[in-house]
Amino acid sequence: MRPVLAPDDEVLIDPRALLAAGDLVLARHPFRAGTRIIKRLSAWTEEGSAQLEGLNPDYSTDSRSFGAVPKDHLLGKVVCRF
Amino acid sequence: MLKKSLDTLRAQFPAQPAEAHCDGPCGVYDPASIRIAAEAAVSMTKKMLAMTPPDASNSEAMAAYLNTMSRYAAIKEEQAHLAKSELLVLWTDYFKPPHLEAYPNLHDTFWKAAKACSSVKVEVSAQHAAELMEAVQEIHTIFWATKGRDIAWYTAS
Repeated sequence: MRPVLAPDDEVLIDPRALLAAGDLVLARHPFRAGTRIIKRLSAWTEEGSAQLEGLNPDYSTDSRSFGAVPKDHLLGKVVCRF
Repeated sequence: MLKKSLDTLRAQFPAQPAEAHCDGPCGVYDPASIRIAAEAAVSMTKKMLAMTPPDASNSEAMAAYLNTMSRYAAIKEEQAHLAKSELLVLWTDYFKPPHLEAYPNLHDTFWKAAKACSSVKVEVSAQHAAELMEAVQEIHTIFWATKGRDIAWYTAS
């Protein structure tokens, strides 16, 4: 998620925020239990799932490979970085 | 002051880690798979060059000779192609733009290695076989350098 986030950055999550396209969000990985990921929410699908994208398409594994993420997998919005 | 209060906050509310970069399905790469296939193709090249044709009037010996030669050629084709596939996977899946910055000759090295695979596949050339192994060794060196590991080059044969 460079250049916005670097390894070991600490971020604050708002679990109650309304999520809109463009937000950085914390989500549970759809296929890897226990892995939580931070991606940019690029769009909501018609079914109400979230399309997640990394900021570096060349490297990122995101909704292009794991598909749209169900809404209940979204854990909150990244509201600030320390 | 701010830092101190943040440290206090951190200590009281420890946060869990989250992945901002989640890598591909397995992430296991090793140029050894290229080397093994390349070595097999190179070995077949050497064996083919070392064969001596029998007397043409001895049909049984000629059949055995052609059979052996054909088998060597078939294995050479197959293994050279496998080496090329393995090269392409490592090149396109493992290596990323920052690696290219560190090793500006990366693309050229892979291109040469892939070309050498083709030559070894099509021809029976000791020189091109040797060039293939040199290219694979170069890739071995670059790959393990990007991993920050010192893995010595070796061959099975």
